[in-house]
This record gives sequence, structure tokens and C-alpha cells, in this order.
Amino acid sequence: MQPVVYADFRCLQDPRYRVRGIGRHVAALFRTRRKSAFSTWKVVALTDPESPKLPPDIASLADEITCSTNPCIDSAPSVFIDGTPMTHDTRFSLRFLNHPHFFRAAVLHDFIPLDWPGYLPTLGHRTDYLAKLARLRKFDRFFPVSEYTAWRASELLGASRRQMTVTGSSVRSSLYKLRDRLELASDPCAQSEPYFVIVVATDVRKNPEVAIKAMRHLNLLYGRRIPLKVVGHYDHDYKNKLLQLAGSSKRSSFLEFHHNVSDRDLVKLYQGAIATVVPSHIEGFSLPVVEASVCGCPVVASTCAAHMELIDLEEALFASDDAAALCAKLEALLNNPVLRDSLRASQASLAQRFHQNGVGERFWTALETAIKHRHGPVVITKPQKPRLAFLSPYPPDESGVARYTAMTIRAGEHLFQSDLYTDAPRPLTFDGTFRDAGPVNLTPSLNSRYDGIVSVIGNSLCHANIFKVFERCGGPCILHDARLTQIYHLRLGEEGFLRFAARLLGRPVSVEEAYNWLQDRNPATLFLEPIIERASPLIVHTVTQQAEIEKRYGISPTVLPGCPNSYFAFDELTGSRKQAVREQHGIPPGAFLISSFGRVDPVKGMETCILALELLRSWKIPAELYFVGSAHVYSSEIDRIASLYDVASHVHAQTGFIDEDTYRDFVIASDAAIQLRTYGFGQFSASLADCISAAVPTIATSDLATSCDAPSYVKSVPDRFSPLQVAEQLALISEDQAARSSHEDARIAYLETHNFEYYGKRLIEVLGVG
Amino acid sequence: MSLYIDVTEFLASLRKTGIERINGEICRYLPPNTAIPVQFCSDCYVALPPALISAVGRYFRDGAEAEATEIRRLASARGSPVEILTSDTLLVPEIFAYERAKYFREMSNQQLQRCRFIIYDLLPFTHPEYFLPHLPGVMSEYFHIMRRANYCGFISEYTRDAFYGRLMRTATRGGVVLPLGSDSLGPRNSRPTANRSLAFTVLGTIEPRKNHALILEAFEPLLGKIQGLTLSFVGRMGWVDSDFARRVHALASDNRSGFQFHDAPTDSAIRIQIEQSRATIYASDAEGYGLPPVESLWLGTPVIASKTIPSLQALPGAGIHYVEPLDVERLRQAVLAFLDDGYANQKVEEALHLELPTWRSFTQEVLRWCNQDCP
Repeated sequence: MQPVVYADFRCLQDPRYRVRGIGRHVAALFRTRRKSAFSTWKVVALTDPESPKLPPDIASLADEITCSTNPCIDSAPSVFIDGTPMTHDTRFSLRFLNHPHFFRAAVLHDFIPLDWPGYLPTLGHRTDYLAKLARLRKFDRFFPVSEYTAWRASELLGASRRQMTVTGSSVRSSLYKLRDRLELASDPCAQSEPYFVIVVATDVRKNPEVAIKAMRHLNLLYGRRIPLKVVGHYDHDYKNKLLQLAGSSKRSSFLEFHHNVSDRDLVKLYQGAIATVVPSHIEGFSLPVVEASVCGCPVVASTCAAHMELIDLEEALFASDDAAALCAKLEALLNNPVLRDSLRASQASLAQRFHQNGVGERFWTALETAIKHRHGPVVITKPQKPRLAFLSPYPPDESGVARYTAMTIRAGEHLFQSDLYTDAPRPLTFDGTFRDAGPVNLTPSLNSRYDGIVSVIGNSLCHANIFKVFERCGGPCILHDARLTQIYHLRLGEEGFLRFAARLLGRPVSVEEAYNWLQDRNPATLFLEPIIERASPLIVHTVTQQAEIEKRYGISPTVLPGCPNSYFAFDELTGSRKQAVREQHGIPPGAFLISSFGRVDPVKGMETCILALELLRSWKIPAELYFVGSAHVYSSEIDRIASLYDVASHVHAQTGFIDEDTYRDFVIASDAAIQLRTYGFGQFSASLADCISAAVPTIATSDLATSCDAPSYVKSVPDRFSPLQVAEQLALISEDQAARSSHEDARIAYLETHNFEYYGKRLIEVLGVG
Repeated sequence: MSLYIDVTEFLASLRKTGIERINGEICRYLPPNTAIPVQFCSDCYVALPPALISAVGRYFRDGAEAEATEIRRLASARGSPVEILTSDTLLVPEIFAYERAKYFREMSNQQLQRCRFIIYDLLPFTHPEYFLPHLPGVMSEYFHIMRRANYCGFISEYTRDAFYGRLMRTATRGGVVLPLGSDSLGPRNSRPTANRSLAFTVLGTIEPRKNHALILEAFEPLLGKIQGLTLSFVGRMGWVDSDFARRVHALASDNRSGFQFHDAPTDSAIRIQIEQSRATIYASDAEGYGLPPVESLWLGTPVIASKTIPSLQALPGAGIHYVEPLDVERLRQAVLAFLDDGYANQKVEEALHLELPTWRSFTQEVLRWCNQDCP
């Protein structure tokens, strides 16, 4: 199996970080990965679906981009790299921080919020920052950008220096190329108006004030204009503040603003400057120091620790609060080209040291060594069987999905250990060997034992909390429904649903449209987008659903063949057993018993079933129709239609949940079944699978029959069906009189690949945890 | 002993196409004072002035909008509720649901025998894929009543077979077959034009079962390659997918495409279009009758047709070029055959001598049927 580097790419999605030092450093590391021993590893970029998409140049740094932060654990080595561990929501990477399988590496930029006042104004901010600090202790290896940051990390985390490799931060390679291409127009000192450069940001610690004071004094001293050219990220208000500090209007000021300069212009500015002033009170690393050096511009920097790692000549250093000292240093440089040259020469080595290739090499080589020498649980003490966490409905939840999960866990007990997280009421009512791990929540991601955390998603409210967890973590997902229209409507409410639909479709959505979609009429989307982008792998139960998703969304989910919920021994399907069950339930002798299994719903052709029965009876076929599933709110509608067509005494429905024994009895007793759906989309039907499992001749809609790999004793009607078509097929079954035993070979062939033992085996193969 | 004719749906829309056309043509050819028009209101029929029948007839014959006003005026003068006696007959040439269905459902079998229903097709039951999903459910009540009414009129043998063979599931056949008239577009030509231009016309609403997409596919490689070849769709844009509708509009807006689309032509414009066509094309998958091809033949224009058109099945085959089985390539070959003047002129000649039903003969058959007792 290919080893994997999982990397948190959120800082590269976030425009606040991507174009600044932090983002550029992380991107540069991954740019050099292909030159390292990790070139054969797969890089999986972990992204937040709510944040902007990665730009193409960044996306190309990864082999795979995913919104899932819940991977399965296989035997291949895996590394997790967090490039900005102190910035974003840390719950994003719970799985990587808590499972011993992963080797965790953190890039450390600084601890300035802790070391400089004003960054953590509230208790909430402080608590959050301290929590992030505490989380850092879970990392195996640190990559601070400076000795200073490494020292602070040791102090704060108690981490050994052996766990750290100082990489520095790299200057983007475009500056090197431009530097080599652009020729210096004239000697900076010989220009008519020699100037200095400062790189600013709105951050208070950047301290441009001291530089402006010093430059103001220098301008007064010489009685002529000596510009300070200001580059960097700032807004209008900030610019006015600096002008105020300079004591002059925009027109007469010695300050010159160069906003949003291109790299080309930046290189020219550096090259033409007497020096660059970097006056920060505190830094983790200082890119302007290195950038200026790359462009051949000497730097005069404050004496903060990070600067002193880069600059050693006293002539180039000043205390960040000493404007007079700075003024003196600048004046010396202005008047002494030899001094300028000597500073430049002394700083020239920075360019080589902080080229991205050098920085990248330090990073990847150290990471490789660290993995090789990893102590402790490199090989996790794994049980013989993989351990899976299921987040799912479960009986007594009255849902087909609940039962499906229960059957999966029970049949899989020889293949995997199961922990169940469910919001079903206790006591749970389906026997199986598993651990009841409590209600659905985020804790599986904190648990180091799980090889896979599987979310079971469906189109009903009993999945509500599973959606919440899945939307945060993603990961393996068993999708039971072909569309999620109704659950999103229930979760979001009407207004929220309309906004959600509009966002997915990129256009306004009317109430009328939404109403039709809720009736499963021509939905413009299946509302699977949030699931698809977070699922890895996405598991569906039919090839038709796979094709539908591929057609609509361009991705191909994995298919595990859907299984019946009910299984029957051969002797349960004999004529005598059938007769006995029919007597037990008071089925009239000679009746042609038709059942429709599952929850009753108009979208399952409820009306058509009754109308088809009426036709059959008009054809002198003594048909009786049983809805074997809760009719709930549709009970009165069934009565109305049946009465309208004078067949009320031949249509049988009940409002309550049907118990398993009764359900099985009707599968055994039925002469035929009807399983229809007015919508398709490749949805699996456990009820149809149950009919197939018992070789009940069944009428099903074409999409449903195809989806369920139905054998020949399932007769299909078009997806847009009529009562006549259904009745005609039923009449053929009635006239056929073939014993069920004649379908035995087809039944056995179907069950060979449609059973939960097979399903469980395929599941662990698909999860890669087998 | 009265004959009532139900004009409820016609009065609601005053449409001249589809089922309403049949109602209109009956009114046009009914002898004076033969029937009393009735309209269903809430829970019973009410009588309308007999003059309404001639007004409807004129509306269909002359097409004057003034007649529409007159029809509305006469319809507003409702008479008293009508009780259908055992000696009376109620002709219902319309399909219905809801209140009217309830009215008929509550009739005794004896009362129901006094009703004469014209059944047009069973397509929502036999071909539901071509209709909105809820339609079979809505139509169920109508067909439930039809199954009780044991002396219905069918517009084609095909419809009668579907009704008895599939809906009643019996080998016996009842009711009568009442072939629709072919002369809606006016009198027959005595000498149709020979050597016509290479124009082909497709008549009817654009919807999937009529196979317009297949026809267009057959023509597209030929249009622009064969000088003078044109294809016209004549009929409103019905239920088609938006991509196909866009394609039709785009082609029609391109003057060099050789394709035309006329979505709301008058009867006289349709007549001219047919008369100037070398052949019309009718390739529907399913029909209850299929009026456009017999109207084309009536005007002496041959028809390229699929084998499934009930109105043509009663004819000997003269003037018709069948495409069987229907596919793009075979349809294209049929078109190419008609490019030969000799073949096309021969088919025109055949069409000219076909015996075809007229609306007058249809109305006479309807009257005869209404005056008969149920067998």
C-alpha cells in the first residue's frame, strides 16, 4: 500500500494566510516534496468544504484533495502534517492527533500571541490558544522556523530539542529569478533621491512608527527629501495613520506608498534602496530580512531574537524602541557606501540558506529520519480483527437502515469488532456482538482504537446527529438513500433549505420548485453534494445509484451489493408451510395474496397497488392486497381509495410498525408482491431484496429491479407505471401457478453475493482495514 | 325521448383541437334540432339553448371569433337541470374526472346504459411513460366508469382492442368503432400538384411519443446537402426536454438550416403547408387514432408513417410509406425514396383515390349509435 502524507491545507484555502508568510512557507515545503524521499508518497490535502477552493497551483501540490478528515487505518505508513497548528479550528484533525497510527509533524511559526500583549484579548481567546498549545504536545516532530521559535516551543511544551528541526522559512523562488534577470539601474547611493524601504502590515508589533520617526528626523537633518518607500499589506486608514506620524501630507511626505506591488516591482524597490528597515518588536521569523538580502539590499533590523539569528553586525541592528539609534544607522549607510557594501556582503548568505530548496530539504530529510527512528508504537498493537465504529440508527429505531446496520454488525462479528454509536432509545433490541459506545458524537475521532469510523447516512431524522458529525469529519460513509432532499428540508427548515438549494445550484430556488423536489418530482439535485465531498470512501448499494451519482456529480462511489434483511431456509418456502402461515393469519382459502412490503407511501405506488387490485378482481382473480408495513398517515387515504373502487374489504393495512415475525410470515404466505417507486435514482429496496430472498414473484419498477439485481421471477414495469401494467403482470403470475421451488436456483445464485457475510467482507476490503 | 350532448369541457376552453374538435365537428354536422346541449354544473347536467349547437358548428366551420362570443352568450343562459330518463340518451364525447365521475359513478347500471361515451384512447394506462406520473391515477376513475358502461364508442379498432383485450381482459368485443373524419382542413383536392418541392412536414404537438427528435436526427445529415430539401415541424411545443426545445428553436432561427418551426398555425396555413409538402411524416409511438396522417391523405399528400398509427391501420396502404421498424436510418431511406419524383407522384395519385371517413360520416355513425339500444 502506498504510504500517505495527510496535510492540513486549510491555511492555503484561507486568503488571509495563503499570500502571507505562513501560507507561502507551507506551500513551499510541499513544492519541494517531489525532490525528497517522500516523492513516492501520496499527498492527501485535507480541506474544509466551507472555505474557498484551493487555487490550481496549490491544488497541484497534492495527489488528492479531500474534505474527509476521517481516514481508515491500514498498514501503510501515514504522516500527518499540520502547517499552521495555532490558527484554525483544531477539531478538524482530531482523528490524526488521536490515532497512534499517524506520525504527526507540526510546522511552528511563532508563539507571539502569548509573548506579546494584545493578541489574546478575552478569556475565550486565551483558553483557545492554550488548548492549541496543549494539543501541540501530541505531535511527534516539530519544525520551527527559527531557533527562537524552537526555544519557545521547548519552554512551552517541554519538548526536547531532539524532536525539533529548525528549517527557517523560505523566500519564494520568483524573487531569485527576478533578481537574476533584472539589472540594477544605478547605484542606490548615487541616486538623486536615495531611499529606504520598509515592509509593513497592520499588525502593531511590526512597529513602523520607529522607522518613520527615524526617517522624519533624517529628512529634517538633511533638509532634503529622503524617501521611505512603504510596501506590504495595509488599508487606507493605516496609510493615513502613517502619514500623520510622518507629520506631512500625502503630497509633501517622505513616505511613498507602494501598495500591492508585483514581485518584479518589489525586487526593483529592494535593489534600488540604500537599505531595508525591519523594525518589528517581535517575530518568529522575518521574511523581509531575507527577501531584501536575496535582492542585494542590506537590512537594518531591530534586535528581536529572530532577527539576531539572521543578522550579526552591530551596524545593522537597533533596539526596536530607539528611533535615534535607527536614525544614526540609516545616516551612516546613507553617507557610507562602503559600509552599505559590507552589510550587504555579511547578509548575502541568507539568500542561499533560505532558498525553498534548502528549507524543503531540511524539512523532508528531518521528517524522513524522524519516521525511521520513531520510537514507541510505530507498529500499533492491533487486535487480530480490525475495530470499526459505526454511527448509525439501530433497532428499536423503526427504520430499515437501523436493521441493515444491525445485520451488518451481526454478520461481521467474525471479521471485525464493532462499536456502535447510536441515538436509538435504549435498550437496543437487536442481538449482536458489539459494544454500545453511547450516543452519536465526535468521540470516535478521539479514540485511538478505531481502524475505521463509518457514518451511516439516510434520508430520515434519525440520522440528524450523524450528519453533524459527518459534516465535520467526513470519512467512510454508507449512503442508504438515493436523495437527501427530505432530511435537509427537515434539518434546515424551509428558509434554510431554499438557501441551501440555491447555494448548491448557483441560482435562486422557488418554494414551488422545492415543493416538487420534496415530492421527488424532477429534483434538480439529489442534495448529496455535502456527503459526496466529505465521503471517503462513499459506499452505495446499487450499480444504478453509482451510475446516477457519476452522471450527476462526476464521481464514482463504491458499490457493495445490497442485502435482504430477511433470509429463509428452503423448508420455510414449501407449499405446506405457506398454507400453515396463511391459515394462521386468516387469509381466505384460494385467495391470491398480494403483499406490498415496507413503509406505505404514495411514492411507493400506494394508489396503484389498490387500483391494480381492483382490476384483478374485475378480472375474476380473487386478489387480496396487504400493505405489510406501517400505513401511518396514509391509512385514511388507503380507505378512501379502496372504498371509491369498492374493494375496501380486500385491502388490508395497519398504522403501526410491523413486527419481524409478521413480516416474515407475509413474505412466506404471499403469492405475489408489489414493490414500486415513483422515483428512481438507483435506490436500493430492502423489501424487494427480501422478496427475492424468499423467491416471491414480484412486480417492481424497472429502476428498482435493476438496482436490486433482481432475478427473473421479478417482473418489471416501467418507472412511470400504470395500474393496468401492474395488474397485467400480477394476472400472469396468478395464471402461472409455478411453485416457488422452480425459482430455487435463481434464489440461491442471488443470495451468494447478497448476504451480510459477503457484505461485511467487502466492507473491510473497501475500507482497507482487512 | 331526447338526445343530450355534453359540451362541458368544450365550453370551458373553446379549443378547436384535440377532443374538443370532435365535439365541435359533431355539432357542425348534427341535423337541426337533433340534440340538446348540456353542461355539467356541480352535481347535475343543465340544458343549454339548442341554438348553441349551430353556433358551435359555425365556430368550427367559419372559425369566426364572433361565434365564440355567441357561444359564451348562449352558454350563460342556463336552463333547468336535466334528468336523464330511461328513454333519453346522453352523448358524452369528452373525458372527465372528479364531479362528473362522481355523478356517473352513482348512476345505476340501467341509467348508465343511457349514456354514450366516446373513448379516445387508453394511453395513460398502456403508455404511462408519455404522461405526467399522476395521470393514470386521475384517469382510473374514468376508466372504472367506462368498464361499467357497456356500449361505448371507440375512435379506432386499436382503442377498442386495448379496452376489451387489456382493460376488460376479455376476447369479446363490444361497442362500436367510430372512425374520425379526415376533412377538418376543408374539401378534398381534385387534382393535387405533382412534382412538389422537396418539403417534408411533421404535424402534431412536439412531445416525446411523437418522435420529433428521431425525425430531426434522420434529416440533419441531409439538410443543406440536398438542394431544396426542407423539414417543417407544425404544432405547438409540448412536453419535451428543454435541450430539445432549444435545439428546435435554434435550428428554426437559422435561415440556412432548411428547418422551419410553426408553433401556432391557422387551419388554412396548415392546409397550405400540407399541400405544398412532398410528404408528411407521422412517426408516433402510440396514438388513439392519429388524425394528422389521414388529414394529409385527404388533401392528397402522401404520408411516411410508423406502423403503429391506428387511423392508417384501417386503410389499404395506398399513399402511405411505412417505416418498419421505425429507426433513424429507415426513416432517412424513406425520405430519400420520396426525393424521386416518380415515386412521390405515384404516392400522391394513390392518396387521391383513398376512401376516407369524413366528419359527416362520423356524425352519422355517432347518431346511429346513439339511437340504438344497448345490446
